[in-house]
Amino acid sequence: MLAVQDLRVTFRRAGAAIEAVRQVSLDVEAGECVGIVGESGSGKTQLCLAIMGLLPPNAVVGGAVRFAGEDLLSAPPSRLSALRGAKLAMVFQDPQSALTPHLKIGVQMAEVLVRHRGLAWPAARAAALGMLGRVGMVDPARCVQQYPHELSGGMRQRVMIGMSLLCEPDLLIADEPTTALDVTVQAQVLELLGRMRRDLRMGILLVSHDLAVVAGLAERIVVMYAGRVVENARARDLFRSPRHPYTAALMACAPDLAGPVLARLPTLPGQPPGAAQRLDGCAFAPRCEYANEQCARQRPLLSTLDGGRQVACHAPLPP
Amino acid sequence: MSAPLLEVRSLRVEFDAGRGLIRRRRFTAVDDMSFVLGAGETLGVVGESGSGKSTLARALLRLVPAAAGEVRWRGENLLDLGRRALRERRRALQMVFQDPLASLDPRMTVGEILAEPLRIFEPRVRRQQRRERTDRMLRRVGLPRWTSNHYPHEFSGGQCQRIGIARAMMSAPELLICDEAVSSLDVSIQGQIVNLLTDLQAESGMAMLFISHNLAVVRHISHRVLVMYRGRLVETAPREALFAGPLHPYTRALLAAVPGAAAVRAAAGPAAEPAIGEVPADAQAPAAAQPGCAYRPRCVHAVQVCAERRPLAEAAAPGHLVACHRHAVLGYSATVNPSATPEKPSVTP
Repeated sequence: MLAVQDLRVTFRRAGAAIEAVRQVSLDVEAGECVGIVGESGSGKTQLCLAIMGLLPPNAVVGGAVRFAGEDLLSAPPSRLSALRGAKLAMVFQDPQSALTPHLKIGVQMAEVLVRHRGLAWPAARAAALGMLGRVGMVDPARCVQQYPHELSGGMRQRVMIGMSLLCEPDLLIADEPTTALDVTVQAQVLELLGRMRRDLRMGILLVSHDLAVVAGLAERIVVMYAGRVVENARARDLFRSPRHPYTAALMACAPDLAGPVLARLPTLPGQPPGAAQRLDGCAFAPRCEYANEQCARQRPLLSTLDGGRQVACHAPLPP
Repeated sequence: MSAPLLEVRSLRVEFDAGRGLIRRRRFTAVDDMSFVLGAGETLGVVGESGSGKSTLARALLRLVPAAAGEVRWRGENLLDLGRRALRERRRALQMVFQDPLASLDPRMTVGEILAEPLRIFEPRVRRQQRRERTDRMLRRVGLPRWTSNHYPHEFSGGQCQRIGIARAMMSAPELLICDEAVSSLDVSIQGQIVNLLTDLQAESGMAMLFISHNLAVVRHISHRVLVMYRGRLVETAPREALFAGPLHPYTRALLAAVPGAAAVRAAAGPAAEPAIGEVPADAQAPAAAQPGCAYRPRCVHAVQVCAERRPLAEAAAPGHLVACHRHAVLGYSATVNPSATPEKPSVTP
């Protein structure tokens, strides 16, 4: 349903070209949840914005993004704007800034249906009310009368998700939807996403810096580092045996609630390269404990291993 | 047993919550909080946003005024001190903040930022010596010496947090308060900073108050853990006891909600269901208005008494305090079993 091929996003700033996304390819099938995991600066958000056509004017986008067979990158702005909200929806990390502060929740939500579905206001309002109930708001009738600032972070994120689902989109892009939320609320929002996806059979592109967050929902996980895909595998394969050293390090670094208490947390030395940095070899090589001389010289290409998983590494870890 | 380094007794912090029709409304951010902290000890403070964790930290340093209670530092109540005396004590109590960049003055070089505590607390130290000590500290927190001549915005989040820690360590504090100090950092950087803090603690013998919403990090760094809910203490226990045998329904819900090991294991197996806590949807009622337990609206085990009387913290085991009317009835075991992982509470429909 969504096919991203060799997507590149480059920002031109003060004569320098900053490559945020470098040749990323991925697919999302109908009803499938694909997780994108990577640290800050790995290009996750720019990838989402490129798919949605929401990048700022100084961004240069290359490659192809096909949504239900339609090329989004060459689509005119009017067509994109018609697709967004109706077939293609996005939930942002910060629901506060994504909601209009001076409109009541009910009005903001109804407006989506009036605009995209041509519903009359009363019908749209009724649908908004129903959706608030479906996303688990305790008192939908009260919520439609409230302004965004009157709601807690968790409730605002529910409203955002409800709003993005009003037109029953085929694909939902959720960029760090739970990062600003408390753990208990996070569990509820993830559960809500899973339920809505089953109910509506929609595809989800779930972006997070936290492997554990996508673990419960995604069938397939794409790990990004420095703007590139380093590993793309079925979730269960990835957790069972990560093949890229960066994936393995990410998993080892996350402190755990189970298992022995550690005197020292496992760490990954160094830090990710900047987006402006020119890289000849593997971007992860300076931090990789398995790096050899080839890794510094030649960039590993994404190649397909057994079981349809892709890894960009000269010396993938054994299964 | 010697006197504790820090002893907090019935601390309360209130804020103005805007003007009501007749009188000012007050919001209680920290309510009846008591705990002790020994030298060299790390107390982890966990709770959701709005539970009063940061306010508690700020009240200890008198960055916000306390409405009632005592903050005893080596037996002396900090809340009674005059400005000059307080300033002198602050040398021993330092803080590291969540947003590393925002907590550093953008107009000062890193070297100047590190030298400032010396200029304030040890005005007699000469320029040359100041420079030597800031260089030594930079090296200690893992930053190269050239860092000194650069400005905070030139560094990444993890590096800025190292600078923030270096600044706090310059006055050789006896208590370091870390308010969500690793929360905004990437996973791969988080461990580096946590290890740096534990190393510095081992070298200096300082105590730490480690505030975080990340239970997994708290589990690895703390000797004891204190759980807050709506400004109140709901449970405190030695680390092993709290994670192996949590007694308060809220603590259990918090632990169950972490998308950690359980979710990863679930994804590796056939079923891929996210962990769901036993906390129902957001409860809106403000804490101060209720006479009973603040957690009652979200608690599946609540009975009549929970609405009528506020539960007081009582000892369920040595060193294990819990503020819940029902903890004994619920039959959660308080026995310490370090090898046990926290079992998931039953999800009541």
